[in-house]
Order: sequence, then structure tokens, then C-alpha cells
Amino acid sequence: MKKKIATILLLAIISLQVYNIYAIQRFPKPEFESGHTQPPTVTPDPRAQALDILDTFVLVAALSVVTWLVIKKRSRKGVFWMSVFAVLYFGFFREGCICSVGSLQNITLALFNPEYSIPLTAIAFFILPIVYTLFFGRTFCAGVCPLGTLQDIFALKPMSIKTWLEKVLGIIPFIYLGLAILYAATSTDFIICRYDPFVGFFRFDATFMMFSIGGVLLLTGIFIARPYCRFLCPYGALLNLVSRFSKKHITITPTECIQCRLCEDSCPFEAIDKPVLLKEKEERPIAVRRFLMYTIIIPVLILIGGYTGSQFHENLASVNTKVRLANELLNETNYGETEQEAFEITAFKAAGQSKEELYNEVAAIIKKFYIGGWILGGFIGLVFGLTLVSLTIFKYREDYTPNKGTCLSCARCVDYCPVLPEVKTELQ
Amino acid sequence: MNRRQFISSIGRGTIFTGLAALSGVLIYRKSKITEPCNFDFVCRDCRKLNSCKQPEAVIFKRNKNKKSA
Repeated sequence: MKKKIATILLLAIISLQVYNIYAIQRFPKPEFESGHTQPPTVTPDPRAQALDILDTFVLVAALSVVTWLVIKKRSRKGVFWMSVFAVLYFGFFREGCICSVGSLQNITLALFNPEYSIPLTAIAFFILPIVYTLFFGRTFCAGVCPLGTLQDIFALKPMSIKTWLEKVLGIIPFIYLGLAILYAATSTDFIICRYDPFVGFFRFDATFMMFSIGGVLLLTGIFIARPYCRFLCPYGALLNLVSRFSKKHITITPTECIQCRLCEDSCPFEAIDKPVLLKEKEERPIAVRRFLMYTIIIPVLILIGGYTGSQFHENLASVNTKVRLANELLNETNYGETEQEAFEITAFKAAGQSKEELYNEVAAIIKKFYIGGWILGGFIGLVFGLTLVSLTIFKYREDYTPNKGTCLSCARCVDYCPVLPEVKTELQ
Repeated sequence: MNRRQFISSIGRGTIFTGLAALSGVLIYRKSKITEPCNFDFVCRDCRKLNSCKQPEAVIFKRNKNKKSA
């Protein structure tokens, strides 16, 4: 039976590929008289509009099914099979584009550049997982995100890492988030997509460097579960924050915890908060004093971070193609070939734009990066400050509970709980 | 409802409102954008232009005729 379902599923996915034939190129590819052949694109071909709509429906359906499996059915097996489906559909079939992680940049670009017409699919792929997270926790990470689920399949021998190291590495996604927003807001680049370590696997066209990074991450993932999700993913950083406010979140035990400690080491992501003994609670005045001190430090950290970020604005701006071109023009770059100017310079001269116009544009871009550098640095300072403050907050717990922020709702822990759910009898 | 739940529901409401506003703004902006054709050069330099039935090519040919007239 299972084999039949798998075959039907596979055939359905293959048959959907045929539909792409109806996708129309908005502009026909030009033919060059010089014999120039167009290089292959790194992004997938445009999809038919109907497929875009279908993708959104599949996303809603997948989110709903995984949420039901996690919250109601409490089935790890179900979540695992949904993960396989997500890798096949959102990964290999859709070639990982548009994904929710990358859509963050489309949203930023649309906010900062009014001329950019954002696809509705990008809005849906950004908003829907956040809405589900807001109500049910990170069920998107559990079994819908193709990047996460691919790593999940590789988490075979997860080991625990030190709490301090986890905290320090946990800051990286916020820095990555800030950088991604800065580069998208300045219309410079979509760095999340450019440096996506797994999308090359889905498209079978990874460069050697990205293939190596993806491979290393997958191999690391055997021992340190989901390294990209935990220590790099910028969308995961957003979901981490949103999930803290979730209305219904997965619980380890269906009723009351009996403190059997069976689930204690069950989470490969170390997202289970252990009970805290009341005697461990420090004296209130000391805790309050420390909390206030760290809170006062936050604005100082923001200022230091902002100033430091602004000092690096030229380095940050050097990624921008126009800034690079201006640098090449100023330095008369020839890339090692004497008396042969760079192709970029030749193309610029042929386009007919004056150098002054370009330099004025570049000055405006660098100014944006100066302001962006202040904001990015300030944001990183804020993250450091809040991390410090969070270490001072004492949370009294009697039971083993999933940490709402870091828990990926994979439902592994529920299999370890011996407590059976209450069965409603007819009398009740 | 205890204090923690109260703060949580306030946060949830704020985020949800923010997301709704964000979606609204993006969809409104999208509906207002009339996409100008920034790819004229594709049609201009294309050898298949005369026989092309693509909407962009039709518009390009119409504009070209207007200019020449």
C-alpha cells in the first residue's frame, strides 16, 4: 500500500513537470549575429502562473498537515514522511525557488524599492509560515522547509554541544539576517540565494564551492543536527522570535509530566528546557540589579555597534556592482591582461553613460550603505545586548518543556514520553 | 490568564497586525505599479521581431510605428 502511494505521488510530481511546457518566456531570447551564445541561467526557468498558484496551495496544505501531525496526532513518523515530500516537491520539483528563506529579500526589496513588482507567491511564501508559527510554533521548519528537512534526514548521530557555544553561534543568523536585509534594501544582491548551500543540490548545478559548503554542512549535520537552521538561517532567526508568542505549541507530554526524564536527551537540537529547582533561584535584589545593569548597557552596545558598522560601509558597499564598476574605472582594471581593459569597462563605455553620472550614482549608494552600516551595527549591538539580558532572566519550571524559540517542532521527543493521552469516554 | 500569557497574546496580536499591514501595503503597491518595459533593447535587437507575436513585441512595434509616423 505504502509503495503504491509513493508511486502515485512520484507520478503526480512528474506529471506536474509537463505543465511547465505552458510557461511562456516573457521575452523571447534574442539571437546574436556575432555568434555569441547565451550562458545558462543559474535560476530556474519561469513557471506557469497556474503552477505558482498550485505552489501556494501546496504550501498551505503542507503547513496544515504538518501542524495537524505535530499538535494533534503527535506523530514523528508522519512529520518524517512530510519532510520527504517537502524535499521532493519544494526542493527537487520546484528547484528551491521561491523559498520562504529567500522571500525575505523580495519583501525587503519591495519595501525599499517601490518600482519592484513583487510576485504574490513571494508574499505568500514569506507571510504564511510566519502566521502558522505565530499560532502553532515552528511547524514550517519541522516538515515543510526543504533546506531544513534535507538536513533533518542526515541527523543520524546527533551530539550535544556546550550551551555557551550554542548561544554564541545563535547570534550568527541575526547578523546574516541584517546583512541580507541591507543588501536587498540597497538593491545590491540577494545574498541568501547566492550563498544557499543546498539549492545547488536541488538544481543539480552547484558550483564546486557551494557543493563543498553544502556537503560539509550535511556531513556536519550527521553529528550536529541541522547546522544551517540553527546557526545560519536568517528566516529561522525570525521564526525563533515569532514562535515565542505562539498560541499552541507542541508539548512533550500529552497530559501531565511524570518527571521520568526519558525525554531529557531526546532532542537533537537541545531545545528542551529542563526543570529548575526553586532553591537554584538567586536572591531577587541581586537578579534585578544585574538585569537593570545589562538593560542600561544595551543602548551603549547599540551605539558601539552602529559606529563600528558605519566605519565598514565602504567595505560593505564594495559588493554592489556599480560601486565595483566605479572602482574598476578609477583603477583602470585590466585583470592581468595588459592593454586589455575589463569587459565591464568596455560594456560601460558602449552603454553611453558618462563617468560623472556613474560616480554620482555610486556616491548615493555609498551614502545608503553608511546609514545601513549604522542600522546594521546597531541591530547587532541590540542582539548582543538582548542575549546578555536573556541570560539574567530566571524562569522557574517544574516540567520538561520544549523551548518555544529554538524548538523545531520535529516531534522526536513525543515518542520518548510514556504518558498516554487522555481518552475521552462516553460518560465524560 | 496570567501575566506571561497576557504579554504573549499582546505580542501575538501586534505581530499579526504587523503582518496583515505588511501584506496589505505590498499588495496595494503591486496593484499600483504599471510595469514599464525596461527591456526594449531585447525587441530592438531581435531578428525575429517582424514575425513575433509576443505581447511585448506587439507593443514595441506599435510604439515604433507611432514614433516613425
